[in-house]
Amino acid sequence: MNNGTPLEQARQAYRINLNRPLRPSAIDNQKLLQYFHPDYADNSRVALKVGVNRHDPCHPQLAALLQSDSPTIEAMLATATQIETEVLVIGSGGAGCSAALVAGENGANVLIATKLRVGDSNTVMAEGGIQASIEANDTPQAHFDETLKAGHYCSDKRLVEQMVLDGPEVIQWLIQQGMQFDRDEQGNLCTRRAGGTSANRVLYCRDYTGLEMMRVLRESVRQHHRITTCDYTPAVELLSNKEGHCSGALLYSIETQRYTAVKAKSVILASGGLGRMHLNGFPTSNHVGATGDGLVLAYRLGAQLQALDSFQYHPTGLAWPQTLAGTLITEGIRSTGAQLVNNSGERFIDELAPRDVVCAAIMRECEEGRGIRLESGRQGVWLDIPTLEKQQPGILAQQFPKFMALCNKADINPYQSPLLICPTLHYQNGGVVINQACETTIPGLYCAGEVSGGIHGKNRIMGNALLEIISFGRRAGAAAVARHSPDKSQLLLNHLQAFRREIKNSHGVSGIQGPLLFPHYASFSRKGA
Amino acid sequence: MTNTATPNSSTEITVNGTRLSVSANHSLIQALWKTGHPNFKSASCLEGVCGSCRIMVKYDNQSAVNMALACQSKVEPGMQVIFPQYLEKESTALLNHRYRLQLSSESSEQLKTIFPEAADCRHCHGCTVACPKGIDVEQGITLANEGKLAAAGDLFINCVMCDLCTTSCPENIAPNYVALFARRTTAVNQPTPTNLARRLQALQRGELKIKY
Ligand SMILES: Cc1cc2nc3c(=O)[nH]c(=O)nc-3n(C[C@H](O)[C@H](O)[C@H](O)COP(=O)(O)OP(=O)(O)OC[C@H]3O[C@@H](n4cnc5c(N)ncnc54)[C@H](O)[C@@H]3O)c2cc1C
Ligand code: SF4
Ligand code: SF4
Repeated sequence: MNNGTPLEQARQAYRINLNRPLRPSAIDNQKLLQYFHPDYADNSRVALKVGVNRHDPCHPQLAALLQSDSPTIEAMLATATQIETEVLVIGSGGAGCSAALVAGENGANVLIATKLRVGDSNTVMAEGGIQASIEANDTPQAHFDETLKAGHYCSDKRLVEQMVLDGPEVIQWLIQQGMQFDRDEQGNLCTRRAGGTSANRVLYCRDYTGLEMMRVLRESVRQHHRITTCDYTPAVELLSNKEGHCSGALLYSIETQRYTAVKAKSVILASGGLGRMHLNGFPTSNHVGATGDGLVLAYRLGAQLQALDSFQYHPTGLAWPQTLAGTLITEGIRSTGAQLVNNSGERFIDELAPRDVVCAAIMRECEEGRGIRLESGRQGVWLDIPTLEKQQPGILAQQFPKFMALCNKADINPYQSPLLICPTLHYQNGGVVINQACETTIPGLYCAGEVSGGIHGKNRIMGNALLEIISFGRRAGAAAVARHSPDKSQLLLNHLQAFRREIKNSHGVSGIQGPLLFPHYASFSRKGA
Repeated sequence: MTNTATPNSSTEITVNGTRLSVSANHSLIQALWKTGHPNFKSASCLEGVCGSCRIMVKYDNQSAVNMALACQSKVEPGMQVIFPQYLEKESTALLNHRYRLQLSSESSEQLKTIFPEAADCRHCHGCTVACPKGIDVEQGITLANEGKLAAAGDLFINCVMCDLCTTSCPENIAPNYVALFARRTTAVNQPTPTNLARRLQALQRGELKIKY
């Protein structure tokens, strides 16, 4: 491997340049992915040994977690305080809150149990925006086609169809909750283009789309008389009845270190992604609570999962300064024209190609010696912000206040200096298998949001996650009320015992215990575990 | 290659009354993690948008106490830090303001009934000084009291709902909730965007089917 140019030297050599031709690529996108994308590396998958997805490919670190033993013992359940609700929602990002709101509107009493505070999530961090096909020169069909294409045709078409058709109504619902979107002088919603798409389809609120969404949904939830919330109370296990249907969950209070067993007619799992597992040692853009708990809980109960070997590495995570490594720089900034540039000032990829392709292209520059090297040996490429500002004076301050705050914190002057970036672990493409009503393969258990799979195939387009969480979150809320089964009288851990036997028999036990709840460096431990 | 960087020289700071030796050149949260200090309740996004890591901080060479976000604050020698408790959900400042969003030309009247104490603002700047995001909170309350809800709400685009302004207000005003009401009511009372309205109508007429 060639080493690339040291950071200081590259910084000296950098020049603003309004005319950078794109270097033609000698290899096509498919090869680029095969040779350089982390998902395609030889060591990126193993076959699962236990559970419904036995024999399916899975990332080795995730496989270890899915096949981990649980610290939960019967005594925790036996001594737990018992409470009852109609709908239990696990997680309070956009998916959890929208599910709770619709369930509440449809007359159910709802309990939200969440790991940190309501709204501490990946949702609050989203910057780029939310997809919805609303422009005259765009159609839901194009949105559908491009979602499938970007995902390498691995998505469940029925889910994608439903999601793209829901898009405009999702936006209307969000406005009715009190969410603001950027508008032009005629009062139309502003739109911009996402990588891998043909039309302007991303709606946004400056670069604070997730913050605005979460602020509004959190307040709606707080104001709702049927919704109760429990902060700092992660779910540590799902509970089942004799038939193996989901009948509730075991919660653990981080504050009191006590357990609570919740009996529910329906359980909606909306616990988000797993960036904090730092797969392949990558930095991540995710919030601290994104540790893949939902997948572990659902898998033990017997719910089917899918695409466990497919993850999104967002092309533009900050690589320097190192204290901020992994922090996301929104794709919105490439949508408005920012270019990626290597150590010799050359453009090497269409910045709005699908994310996996852009990621692979960056990895290639670094591996082939055209990157910019840090003292630690890690490499990145430039995101050419000064040239963008030169082309469109004022754009940074006007459209990207959150980005400017990041530059301030990082001591970078974006008017003069480009930003060193490299891919950061961003999104879990797969997850729990659901149908159009968000039902999983286990009766009584519903899933919505990043924890579920099937929509984005093997690669997601910017803005489709925020659309997904509201589209499916609302549907999960409605379905959980309409279909909940009357008899859920028992709260048992039989499924866990069966799963334990299976891992023992297969010698598949991994050294770790799950769910993780927090990344290892937060030094968390569960009492009694 | 995790987000916690390589260890550096160490420095002494005080956190919630306890003296700790932490590595310099880190954000406060990263440094605390490295000491094994169990503060998992007070960090989430690490990007300064969720508000969970709010702190009161006094630097060695200053007499003033500042409000800040721990994930956005670098370790400085001798700094004294307190992670204040959040207001109880049941506290009156938060509970009393129940409302339903509605379409109405009377939003500013509605504001007066939901947040009557907003009129008592004594312009003490307490809220503005407290805000770690540099928002002119007091000006927001002034604008809201004048019935300029859209303008008031605009000031709070980057509000992370850390409640520090509410905690600081001697009149028991909850400025960030006033602002959120202002933003939300502005959103629902804007005319439906034309591009969105057209698309919704076309969908209703069933004109836009998906072909596989
Ligand atoms: C920095 C960043 C920027 C992004 N930008 C965009 C964008 O511009 N557009 C876009 O479409 N998408 C974007 N995404 C992706 C998108 O934000 C997420 O995929 C989406 O918000 C996930 O929503 P969710 O509700 O499923 O999960 P989250 O919002 O992550 O919420 C999960 C919730 O579950 C809780 N939880 C976790 N485990 C447990 C447990 N064991 N018990 C109880 N609660 C638990 C968490 O604390 C959290 O409250 C971005 C993501 C990141 C990280
Ligand atoms: S809640 Fe108050 S103090 Fe906190 S960011 Fe918002 S306006 Fe500032
Ligand atoms: S702290 Fe309260 S009284 Fe003082 S300026 Fe702010 S809103 Fe007014």
